[in-house]
Amino acid sequence: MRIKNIKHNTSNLRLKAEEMHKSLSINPKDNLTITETKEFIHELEVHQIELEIMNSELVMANEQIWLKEQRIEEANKKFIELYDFAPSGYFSLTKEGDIVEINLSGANMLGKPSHRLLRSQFALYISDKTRPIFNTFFKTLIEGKGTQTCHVTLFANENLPIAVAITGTLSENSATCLINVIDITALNKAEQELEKSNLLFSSIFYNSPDALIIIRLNDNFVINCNEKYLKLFGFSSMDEVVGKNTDQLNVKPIQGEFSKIASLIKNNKSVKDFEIQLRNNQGKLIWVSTSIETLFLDNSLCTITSSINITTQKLAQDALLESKIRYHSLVSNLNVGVLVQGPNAEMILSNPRALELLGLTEEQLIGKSSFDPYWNVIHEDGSPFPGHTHPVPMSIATGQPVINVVMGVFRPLTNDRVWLLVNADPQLKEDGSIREVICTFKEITEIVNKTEELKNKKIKIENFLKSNEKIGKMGNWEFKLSEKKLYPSTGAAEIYGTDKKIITFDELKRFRQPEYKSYLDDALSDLISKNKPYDVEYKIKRENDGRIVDVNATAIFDVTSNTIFGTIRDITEQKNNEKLLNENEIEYKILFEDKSTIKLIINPNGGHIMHANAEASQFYGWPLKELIKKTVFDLNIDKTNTTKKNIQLTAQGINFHREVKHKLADGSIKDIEIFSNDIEMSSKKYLLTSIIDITQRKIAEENALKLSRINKLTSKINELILYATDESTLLDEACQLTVKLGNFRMAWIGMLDENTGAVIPVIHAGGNDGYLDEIKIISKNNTLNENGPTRTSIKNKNYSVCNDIENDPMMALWKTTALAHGFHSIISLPLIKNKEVVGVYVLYSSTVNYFDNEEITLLKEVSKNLSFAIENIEKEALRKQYLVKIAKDEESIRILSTAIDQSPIMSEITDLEGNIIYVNRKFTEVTGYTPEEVIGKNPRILKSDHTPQLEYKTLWDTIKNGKSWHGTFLNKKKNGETYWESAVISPVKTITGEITHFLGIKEDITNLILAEEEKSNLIKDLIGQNKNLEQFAYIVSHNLRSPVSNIIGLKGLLKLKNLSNTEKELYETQILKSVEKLDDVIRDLNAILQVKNQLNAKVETIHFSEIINSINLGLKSLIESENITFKLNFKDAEKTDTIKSYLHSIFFNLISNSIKYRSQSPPIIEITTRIEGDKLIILYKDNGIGIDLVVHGQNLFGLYQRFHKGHAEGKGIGLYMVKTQIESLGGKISASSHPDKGIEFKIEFKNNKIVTN
Amino acid sequence: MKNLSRIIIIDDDPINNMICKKVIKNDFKKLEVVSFEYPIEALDYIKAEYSFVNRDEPSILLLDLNMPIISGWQFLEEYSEFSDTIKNNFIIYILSSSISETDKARAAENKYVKGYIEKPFNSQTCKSMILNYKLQLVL
Repeated sequence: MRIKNIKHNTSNLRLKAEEMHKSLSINPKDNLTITETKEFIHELEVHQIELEIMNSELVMANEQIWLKEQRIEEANKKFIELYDFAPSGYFSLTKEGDIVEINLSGANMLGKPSHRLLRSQFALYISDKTRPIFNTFFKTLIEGKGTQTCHVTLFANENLPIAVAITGTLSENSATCLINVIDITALNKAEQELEKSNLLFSSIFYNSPDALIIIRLNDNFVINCNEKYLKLFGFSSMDEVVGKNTDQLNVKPIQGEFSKIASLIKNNKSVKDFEIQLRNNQGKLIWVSTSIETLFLDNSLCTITSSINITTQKLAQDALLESKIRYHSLVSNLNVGVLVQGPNAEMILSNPRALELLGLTEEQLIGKSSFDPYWNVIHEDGSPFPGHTHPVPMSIATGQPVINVVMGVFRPLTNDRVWLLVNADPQLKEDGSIREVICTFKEITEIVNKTEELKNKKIKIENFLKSNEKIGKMGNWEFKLSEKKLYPSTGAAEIYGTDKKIITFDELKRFRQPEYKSYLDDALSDLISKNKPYDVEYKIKRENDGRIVDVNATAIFDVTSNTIFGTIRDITEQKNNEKLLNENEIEYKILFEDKSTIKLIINPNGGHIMHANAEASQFYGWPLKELIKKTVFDLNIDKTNTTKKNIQLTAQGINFHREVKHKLADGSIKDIEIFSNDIEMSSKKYLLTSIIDITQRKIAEENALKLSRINKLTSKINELILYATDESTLLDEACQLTVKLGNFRMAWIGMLDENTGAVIPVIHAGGNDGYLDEIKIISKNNTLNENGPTRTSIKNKNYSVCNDIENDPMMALWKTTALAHGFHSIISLPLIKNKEVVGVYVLYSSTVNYFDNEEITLLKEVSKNLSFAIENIEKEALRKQYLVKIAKDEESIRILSTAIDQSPIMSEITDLEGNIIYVNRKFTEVTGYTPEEVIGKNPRILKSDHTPQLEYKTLWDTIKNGKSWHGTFLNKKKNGETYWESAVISPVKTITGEITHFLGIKEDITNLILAEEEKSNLIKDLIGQNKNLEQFAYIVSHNLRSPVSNIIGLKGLLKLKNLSNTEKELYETQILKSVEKLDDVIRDLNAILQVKNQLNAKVETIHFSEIINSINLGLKSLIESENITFKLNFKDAEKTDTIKSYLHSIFFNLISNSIKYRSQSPPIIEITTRIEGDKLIILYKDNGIGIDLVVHGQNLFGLYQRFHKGHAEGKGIGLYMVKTQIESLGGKISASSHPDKGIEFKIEFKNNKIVTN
Repeated sequence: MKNLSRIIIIDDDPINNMICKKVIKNDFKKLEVVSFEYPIEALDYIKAEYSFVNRDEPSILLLDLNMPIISGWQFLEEYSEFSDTIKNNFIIYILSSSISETDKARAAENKYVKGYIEKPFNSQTCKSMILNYKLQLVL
């Protein structure tokens, strides 16, 4: 179409051009020269060419236009397609709202094919509810106010309602409206979902039991937080947190892996359950477990941090850890190896000393058990010590402690063997099974080694003895006393040289050489009667060969069998050899041969040393020449006769062996072992004495004994410390043990008095015998120069020892007393607590030089461990006390809170902001609010409007100053009812006086107040009635007196002289009048008293209309003459139960008053009855002259009160009667009036009834 | 002060007023006696008659207490509002049938009240009242 038009236009152009050409050629120049013509033609040709060019250009342009047109057409088509298939509906509407154009989506939305929609009202398809929106939208649209939008609901036939957004524009010519309708149902749904999830999120967020806070990461801005967060972190309102920068929050990190958390957040990783300690806004230290997640909120990266309060757990953990640490430090500090092994003897714990002793690292030890083949353990005697017999497995098997087991443990690392004294103590669970075994051990290698050494020495000695002994032939025999017969063994028979199996006593006697007779008889009788050991040497004559042999016989006597059991030995060879030696005088040779032995030859008579070898000289320290001048009595420190006897016995041929002490040249004393034999030299008897120096052995023995004692002591004391629970028991037991195991004569522990500096013995063990009291007196009298061991050890914080009390000047002060008690050595060791000396541990020994270095080291260890124990026991005790106190506090809190909760008085506790944190049951009972409803809220929810604001201010000022406030509130319950409460509100303070909470103790005193009110009303009533009575009495007296005084006055006048008759008559008439008046008054009084006395109180049902009618009947003429109108309305309350005469009198008085005090206009009297709640209301209104209540209000219902001048009829009793009667019926009357505006009375009766009480 | 010129009686009881008049006139024929049954009228009369500056007419006022509309006490309150020029003319006696001690005490407290007379008003009372006035003049 368009293309044609264009072509048409082109031909037009040509036409136009031709016409123009014609018109131009109308006046050609006729007289053109050829040149001119040529020129003209040329010009034309040029024009033609130009035109041709232009034409072709035009054609080309045409073609281009056509192409464009085609493209537009295509685009149009596409557009139409787009238009039809667009996801939104397009409509063209007329200004009347008819659809004139519609696309496919639009039709679909309306649920009908397009042709059926055309020419129909678009508004028809909109839901009734949203149609007004569309109408407004459409109206605005066609007014040409530009593009409009609205949201409505489409109601297509069968389809569900579709929520749509409509955008409309007016077409350019304003003829049609183009509207675009987009289905936003999905959008709406999505929005709703979003809102729902938002709601869900916020409800989770706000109700979460965890403290939550959302922080924007780039600027640390707090986006939100929940109540829990505020509570945990010590904030009181959201404003303090939300909208703030986190730096502004007064929350200080104390400890925790903050840098790790920061780096996790930085790397966008979540933080899970990090335990951190903080100081919250209120300065409280709290532990929280924190988890942090990152999330996108409003296009910025945020963190949501959730924190759980774990302060209590942490504290408990800390306490546990602390006690563990303390235990560890205790165990670590002990100089005892400690292992804790589990029920399968597996290693759980060890202390450094244990590792050191076992030569292992902790890693190597943990995991091993007693059964491990690793251990190479032997018994003391060198036999193997298998794992299952070790102390720990034994104690596991038996459940009993195993103590003082010696174990030799091989240490591969140092390639040596350590000797341990081991104790194992099982710890049982409640069910009796083993929880763990505590194995303690102490190194005793030194002792074992010394013992070993000692053993070796003994063996040497024994060997020596054996070598010295001539082993003879031996035999056994039995001598039965009942038979007096001897039964020799084969060996014995051989010695006797007989074949006899039984030897009679007489035969036996024959064997003996006669010189031994008495010697043997004595020994035998000693054996039998005194049970003295029978050990005799004598000579016998053998039966078969008659040879005389030397024998040695020993025997014991068994009383039960009445038999002597004996041995016999042939010692002839020995004797002969000795003799031989003597005889050959080769004694020197012997002496010189055995260089290891000290030998002396002694003359039994006088004990002179005849010979001595070089060893002897060396040993005794005397030159030989000197030595042989001495006697044995010079050497032996034992000055008794024992030595003499022994020498004589030996000289008689009895071998002698014993241990004695000899004094050397230098005065020192040595322990020696003496072996003596008799020898014959030059036919004289001498004693050959071998001497062995056993001093070393003795010392070693003693030391070993001592060391083992002290070791046992320290190990036992350490054990005590491990299980000690209180100081005094520990010290007491330690003292006892010290004396018992350490073989000390006495031990005491004294505590230092901080104030006086005196040492006060608290515990002692061993023989005290008043020693402590004695030294106390000594010390007290010599405080200035007291430098004894105790004082010195306190001063130097170190041990102080005195090993020779007798001679050491240190003990000079106490010497006499100490020696008297048998003390020769003393050591004082300081007990140190918290680096200060708190006491001393003092030990006494009965031996001089008792305390050597080794002993001191061990004792120092004991005192150190005791010190440590004292210190820790105190800490432990404090901790326990604290725990007990907490438990007690908790208990008392529990009891108190139960008491408060069950209390018959309302209690509420608020925080410092006044927010309720606790209410008890009574509170709920009275107010109707449950704790859940009020906790977190301010008590002002109970506030009624009756308490002035100032009262609350006073209250707050008082309690914030730390004082209690007393007062009474009129509050409102949940159900809106008001109640009176008497409240005492007091601040709750910490010991330091800081106010933490407020406690409100309140009592519902509504009943009390009501009773009080009732009482005061009653009193008011009584006072009123009393006043009324006074008034009544006054008025009555006045009104009675008035006519009486008039009568008296008139009587006085009648007595006057010169009275005219008229005057006399007048006075007499007046007297009569006065008397009548008096009578009236008395009648009135009677009437009033009748009302007051409530006589004739007959209650009946009365219709108001009846009463009014009967009154009106009585006043008929008056009503007619005065033209009175009654407006009566008794619809609401037609009748009532009352006393008829009263109700009649009330209305009569009111109506007659209305007539008396009528105004100019015709009187209108309105009477209306109605029910108001439980009250019957009677409204009485007239249009009379009214009364100025401002002036007369208080006297309105008074007796004989008149308010109107010139209305002589008024006696002033009517309203008084009305009031009296109404009150008698239990009602009330009030009036409202203005002069010239009539008066209105309101009468109220309670309980819908007018009744007398 | 000059001689007594007038006695004014205010009482709603006409019988009493009549008695008073007769008693006074019987003894003091020259004295003028005026009576009012409504106190308001009496107040108006006083204002009208005694407002002139130099009118030196001392009068005795006998005032009842118990009256309708305006009681004797209310009268006294209104009276107290008057200028001294007016008040200087009056000697007020309460004349009441009330024998209540409260009323007597209250009257004694009022500085404008000279005395309290119990009804009935009689010759003796009248004479002593006037004698009292004259004695005051002499002293």
